[in-house]
Amino acid sequence: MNMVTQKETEEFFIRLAGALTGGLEDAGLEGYQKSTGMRTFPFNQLNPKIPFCDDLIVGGLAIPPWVIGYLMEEDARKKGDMKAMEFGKNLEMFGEGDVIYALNMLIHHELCLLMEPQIFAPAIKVVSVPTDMSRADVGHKVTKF
Amino acid sequence: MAYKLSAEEEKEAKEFATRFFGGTASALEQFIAEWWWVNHPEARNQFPFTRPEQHLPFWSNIIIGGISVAEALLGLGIEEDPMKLLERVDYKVKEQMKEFAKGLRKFGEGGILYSAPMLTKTTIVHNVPTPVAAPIGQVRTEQLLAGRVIKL
Repeated sequence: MNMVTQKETEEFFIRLAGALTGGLEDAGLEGYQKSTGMRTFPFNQLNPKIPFCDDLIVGGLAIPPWVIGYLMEEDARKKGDMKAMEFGKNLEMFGEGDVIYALNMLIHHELCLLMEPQIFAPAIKVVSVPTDMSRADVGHKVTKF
Repeated sequence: MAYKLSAEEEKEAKEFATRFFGGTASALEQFIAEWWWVNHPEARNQFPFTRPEQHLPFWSNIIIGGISVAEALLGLGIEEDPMKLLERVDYKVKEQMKEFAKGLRKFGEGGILYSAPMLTKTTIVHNVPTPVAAPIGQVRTEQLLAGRVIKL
């Protein structure tokens, strides 16, 4: 007798699809940032100790399907609508996969920022154009990685 | 009034936590690898900080994904026991082992749920072309972002 049922396998793939959705959202945003070099919203930080806004957005996008799926399932259970209940459960699992990826990605980024801020979040402070009165190399320490 | 979870909800919550911590374990492994890469310059361009092919992610990231797959498969293997190795074991021990295997499979599943999209993302972002360098003040290039200016 197979211990892992067909249902469990399907559930795993629904969760994986949710997680991959989160990964693709993240890749889309980071790829856009890399190709344009843009550093304005959403590619900035609200605080140097918290991850970039685009990562927070990916995390935030993972929550609605999870919560909506759960509420839908509960509502359909009360009404006895099996079809809606099944849909709600699948949506909840899809969101669950996305949450598992997105929150752990945020944990990883947060750890990187806390442990090695100078590497993982280089401070974007452009040296002002030197004039006769000021020199960029005075009063600054420029570290090239 | 405190909300009491039903037995099914409690089971689902435990399963979610197991998967989530499986993902967290993979995220920590990735962090440790990156921390090592940052703090040990001599290890750069050496295995596992090399790529199997120039368009693919680092071996270190692939290994993290592989560990998760191995955990899930080990759990699945003990649970299914295709070689009937647990036939001679005491029934109680066998049940305990199957319960552990189920947890291990879910833990590994969580790791896969983190590492599969992480590898997808890393591959996509790695292959996105960077803009051509331009004079300072026009476009902030990769080269510019790689520097850090500390106001003294």
